[in-house]
Amino acid sequence: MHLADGVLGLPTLALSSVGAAAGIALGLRRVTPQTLPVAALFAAVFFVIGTIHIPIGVGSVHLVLNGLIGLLLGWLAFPVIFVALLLQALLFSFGGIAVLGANTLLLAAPAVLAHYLLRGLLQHSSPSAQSLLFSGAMAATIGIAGAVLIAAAMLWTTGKNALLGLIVLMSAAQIPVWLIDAAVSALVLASLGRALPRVLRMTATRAR
Amino acid sequence: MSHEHHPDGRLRLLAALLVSVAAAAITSIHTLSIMLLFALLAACVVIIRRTLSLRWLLKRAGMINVFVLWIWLAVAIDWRSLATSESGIALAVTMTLRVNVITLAVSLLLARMSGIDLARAIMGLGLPQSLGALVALAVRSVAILVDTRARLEQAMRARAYRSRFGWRTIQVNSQLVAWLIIHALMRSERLELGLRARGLSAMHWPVRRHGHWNTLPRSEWLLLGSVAAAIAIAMMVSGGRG
Repeated sequence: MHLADGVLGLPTLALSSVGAAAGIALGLRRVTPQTLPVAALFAAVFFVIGTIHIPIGVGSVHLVLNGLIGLLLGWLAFPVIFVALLLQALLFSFGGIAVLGANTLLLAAPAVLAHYLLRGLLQHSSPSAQSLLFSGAMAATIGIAGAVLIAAAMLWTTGKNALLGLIVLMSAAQIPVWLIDAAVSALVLASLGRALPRVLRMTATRAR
Repeated sequence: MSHEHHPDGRLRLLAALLVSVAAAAITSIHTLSIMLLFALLAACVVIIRRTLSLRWLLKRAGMINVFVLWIWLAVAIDWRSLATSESGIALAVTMTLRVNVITLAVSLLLARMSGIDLARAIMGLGLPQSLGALVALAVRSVAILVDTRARLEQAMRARAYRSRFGWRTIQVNSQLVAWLIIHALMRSERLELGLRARGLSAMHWPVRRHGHWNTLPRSEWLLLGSVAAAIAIAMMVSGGRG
């Protein structure tokens, strides 16, 4: 989910950019020679994930998975999502340059929240399939719901009642995205738990 | 375009930021209309000189205007009375102009910059080395993962998979994402080991150093000046009209 350039007013853009810059700075403090390649590869994964479309009726929705990325990376999610969005803006015109801070904040802040709320479940020596499925679905729920709430707040501060229709439409459009993201995140986490369980522990501890 | 043509993207990135911030700050429909006119004129010059293709620009404009259509549906129409609202139309027009000015200007300014050029430009504007290294490494990794995804999808099609709405599609795409993450993590470990073996660190990813600002080509300064002048002229000509 992206807000396009030109939709938000300057005060909202400035405030959200400051918030995103603070998050990116905190994320970059976790960047070490060991975590930098992981962060870069995850930025590439987030970029590629955004191009995967699931057909729904005559249309389709694209995966977001910000909650899953946040669950695995913690504060590193901020620079990772920023870089992926920057590349999406330049290569596909998704989002935009001026709105980059706002889009980073609305996707990365709930991602970090998902990390702090759910990371305990990944630190067990062998988390059960149920807890992985639950963590994945919850990460997506926190990721999408949080993003919708922050985007709604940004639109509200820009246009108040004039943008209420857009807020409602945007929120309704995210319901199928949330359902699909929850199912995919749950299955991805279960797959990672089966195929490479050390990844879950490694990423959760690395990024803290 | 090669590095020889765009040795340094700092001023282009600054120009793109200037247009984006100016358009976001301007609420006058007249000013935004003049800015769009300038952007369209610049697009015509670029297309005539065949620096960019018309088809590519139209595709970008088409994509962004699908979103604009949603704005019109949500903002310009009062769905309770099924009538258009004057203030809603004014807001939708403002947003339409802003979105198109920014998309067109940023496309024209940055379209031919490679990801690596962009990473260099970011670092050249004073952003942290680690962020520049992250962008540079991510750009390299995108190409690898896009290739991996294409191979996985080819294998999926060979097993008669067709993407349609249903649980099977969700399962298959989940496996695809899981495999991309596993591939990324294993590759990051190999990358880190490879760098360490060569006595290098990913933190100091070799991105070419920047020259001093006064060594930048005159054409790049002219471009930034033209963008700033176009914005100033648009504001003066409209004279604060709404």
